[in-house]
Amino acid sequence: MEWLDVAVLGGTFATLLLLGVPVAYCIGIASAAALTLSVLPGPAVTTVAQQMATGLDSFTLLAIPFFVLAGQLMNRGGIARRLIALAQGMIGRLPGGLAHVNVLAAMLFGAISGSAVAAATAVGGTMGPVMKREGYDPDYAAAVNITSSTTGLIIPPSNILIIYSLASGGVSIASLFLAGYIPGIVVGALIMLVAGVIAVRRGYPRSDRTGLGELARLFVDAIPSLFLLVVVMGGIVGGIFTATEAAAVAVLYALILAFVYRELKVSDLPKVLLDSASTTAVVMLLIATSLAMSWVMAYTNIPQTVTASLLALTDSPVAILLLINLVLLVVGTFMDMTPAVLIFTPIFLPIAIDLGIDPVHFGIIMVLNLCIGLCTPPVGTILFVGVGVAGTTIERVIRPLLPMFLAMVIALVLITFVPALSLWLPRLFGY
Amino acid sequence: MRSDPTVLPPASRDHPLYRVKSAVDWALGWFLVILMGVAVVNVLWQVFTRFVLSDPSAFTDELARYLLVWVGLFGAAYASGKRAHLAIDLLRTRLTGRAVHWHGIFVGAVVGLFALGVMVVGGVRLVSLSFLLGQTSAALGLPLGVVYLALPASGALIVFYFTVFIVERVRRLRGLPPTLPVLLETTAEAYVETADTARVSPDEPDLTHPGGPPPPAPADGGPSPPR
Amino acid sequence: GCAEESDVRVIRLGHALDTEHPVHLGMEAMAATLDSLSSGTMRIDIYPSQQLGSERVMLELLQIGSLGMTKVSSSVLENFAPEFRVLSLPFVFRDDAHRFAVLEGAVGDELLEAPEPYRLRGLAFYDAGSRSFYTVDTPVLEPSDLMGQKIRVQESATAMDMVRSLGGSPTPISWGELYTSLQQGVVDGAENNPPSFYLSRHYEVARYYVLNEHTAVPDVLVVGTTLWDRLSPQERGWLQEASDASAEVQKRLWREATEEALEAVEAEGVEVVTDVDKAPFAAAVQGMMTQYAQDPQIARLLDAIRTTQAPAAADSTRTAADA
Ligand code: NA
Ligand code: NA
Repeated sequence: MEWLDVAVLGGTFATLLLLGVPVAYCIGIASAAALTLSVLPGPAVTTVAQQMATGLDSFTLLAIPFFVLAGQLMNRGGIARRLIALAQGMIGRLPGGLAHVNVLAAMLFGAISGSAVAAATAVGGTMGPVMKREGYDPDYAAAVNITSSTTGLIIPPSNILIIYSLASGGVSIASLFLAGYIPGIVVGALIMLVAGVIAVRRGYPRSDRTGLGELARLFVDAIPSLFLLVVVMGGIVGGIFTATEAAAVAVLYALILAFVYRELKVSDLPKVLLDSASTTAVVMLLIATSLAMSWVMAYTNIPQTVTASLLALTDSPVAILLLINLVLLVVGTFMDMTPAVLIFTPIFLPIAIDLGIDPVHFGIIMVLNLCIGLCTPPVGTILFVGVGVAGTTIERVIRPLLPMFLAMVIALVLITFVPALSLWLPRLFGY
Repeated sequence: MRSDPTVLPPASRDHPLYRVKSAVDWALGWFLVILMGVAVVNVLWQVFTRFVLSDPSAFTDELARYLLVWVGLFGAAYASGKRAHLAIDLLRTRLTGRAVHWHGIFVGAVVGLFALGVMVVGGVRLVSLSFLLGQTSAALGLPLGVVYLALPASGALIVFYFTVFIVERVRRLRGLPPTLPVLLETTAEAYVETADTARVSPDEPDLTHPGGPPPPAPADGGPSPPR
Repeated sequence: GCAEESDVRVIRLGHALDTEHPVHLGMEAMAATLDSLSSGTMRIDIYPSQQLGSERVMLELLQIGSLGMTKVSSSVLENFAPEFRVLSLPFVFRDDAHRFAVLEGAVGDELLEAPEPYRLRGLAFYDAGSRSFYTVDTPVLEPSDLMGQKIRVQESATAMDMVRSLGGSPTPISWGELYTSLQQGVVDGAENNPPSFYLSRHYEVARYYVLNEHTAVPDVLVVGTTLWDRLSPQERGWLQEASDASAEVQKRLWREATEEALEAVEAEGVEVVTDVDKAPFAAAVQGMMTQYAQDPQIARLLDAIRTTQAPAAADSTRTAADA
């Protein structure tokens, strides 16, 4: 009987998606339709409504609007500009210097804000025009910006890791955050490598050497911004705050910094609050309907059905892990990250645990995997934002993206099969 | 940020459709500002009571959760009014002329049906059940029905927005001039529009509507889709 | 789909605990009993581990009518049927024998039927033992040891009032976040029954467990009246019989789990204090008890509990609660 549920759920979702109905609504409608197979229509719509509301009823999830708000305040408050200047001073000398600056700045910015979208707009918006002026191909610049922005989703704080923690039934957020550092750096380094090779072959310029004195000045200038890292991660890992409290403190800190730098007026605040509420609401509706869909799937025993048929195919852990990665890569091309994590974690995590994979490690694999999907059409948030910021088109940016994808896939394979890359740091801190 | 935004004809801003939608945007916008502001202050208060007063507040956790439910659902309605929810535009970008509007009417009807059937009908059933059976929250003693009220309310707002969009589509099909700046025809750009944090273009914050000067806004069919 | 496909009546039963827990094993026994009583015409599908939501959410699903049965703590039922507050009050039972006499007697029956107006009906009580304090730094041997200590409590007004009356700072934190909160000093301690203390591995952080047994909040097996009203009298009888049988199984498994848990945490080096003078604790909550007893319904139930006699065999060590 489960296969009928699967067919209605998947069929409704896919049809509406291809017809161009917004993804969050496709998920909600498919859930309600599938549930009416087992429950009368009245209780079915009431149940989906209840699951939408109670899905958002989570203190942990509140960290997401707060990190978005903090990111917006940082953007407007001149923090991004200072981080880019620091990155330029540090590695602008390398061949294809500005590309590396873009990657490093995205990683630094990702390390203090929870949002890849914020990184793509803030860093790409600043670096794009500069790179164009220096003779870089704008599509190459956009490709570098798009892929490197995803490091902000792996390097903590990370909203998607918070969502994974929720979907996995409470894997420690502090542990997931710690696990994200090295994989995030690996992804960034591999993108730099590919970007550097292309830059050398195309003969892109490198920046002038930055003197030590100047570098020190840039660093001192960026210290208050970098201190946010200490506040947020130190607070969470040191057990002073929960992730949500740390995010609220980050908002307060970024707000004070923006006022001190005189880059924000009190009258700007309502607009900033509204922007962050509206930006997160897009994610929140996805969370609400995805959690309703997860519920319907649990109710109709879909995870067990999928698990059984997957395990019937093979019992080699390596093969199953590759298979899961492949499924997630495909899912990621057409599905946004949030619903993918919320819907597929309950299905794949039990299998992973059965295979002896640490839930923290699996979370990093899953998120990194879906990061690739964020940069691919037809649904790719970062791709959309990156293309919009660069003023180019998806068709034109695809070619320069291909080698960057290769870098990300290599990183994915490394991180999948070398658990220590994810788990060494959390273990060091006793998780 | 967006290239070449087409400006809405000044006369259109006197059209009731534009004015009503602007007024709803304005009220909903300020409501969200207040919810977000209270949410931040509430969590900071939680930190403050624990560290400074050493007497952790008993209600902040629950209040925070309920505020998120409200921000999420009312924000979803607001984002619907801005057409900011992500969609695949494989089909629509292949359509031209009147088919674009018929497609928009179809999508609006599907979304409206969900908002009406699940959020409004399911939500009203849930709210009345909660009130009827007297369920209260643990820390604040708040009727749960009040929390759930966000479902039918935001559902009704989404129905309102998509009705407005459908009316606008019908107007366009009949060859009337545009009245709404939000019928952006590419999801990618619509997404950048709301996701954008360091906005360069001087677009109008909804918070100064109505009354403030109208914004230079893109009209339907303005920028070409990035694909 | 499934529910209507054949002559088999499928009852969906959700709970929040894992499949090793005495509650889940008790439910499996119930499913087996019901299967044999009904000659296979009634089937119970169990959804463990919060698959269908938290206990509060599952109660709501019963009211909505999309879930048949669930198991919740009686403290969660408080938010639906206020009578249940009486079971969350501290030191209402003299000992285990008295508690079982109350829950399996007239008071228990009255409470199980109390949520009928809320579209819920209790079928049986499951044992959830007695709750005691466990702490990171110093053992809570008397109420003054709680002074200035941040103690994690469930989301329940009664539990917060109790910890406050005893002198501690009640801090509501979700169960899933408690381990790290203890580890990192967000809270100084918590309170729960021995199996939960053991299975959550909180003993790795909280090294003192003092069995003051301040509350004994039972679990309740609940059926939605949407389902119950659809059952024939015969089917109701079978379901009730299966529930009672499963409660017996669960009670035995729970007792074993409690003993195992206490042995295991002691073996892990936790300082378990069993010999506690409960009188000062009971005295400290008197003000709170007086306040709750102003509600005539609570006062009547407290009185009925007090006058319930445990079977003769029981050893009735008097506690300050009835002094
Ligand atoms: Na980040
Ligand atoms: Na994609």
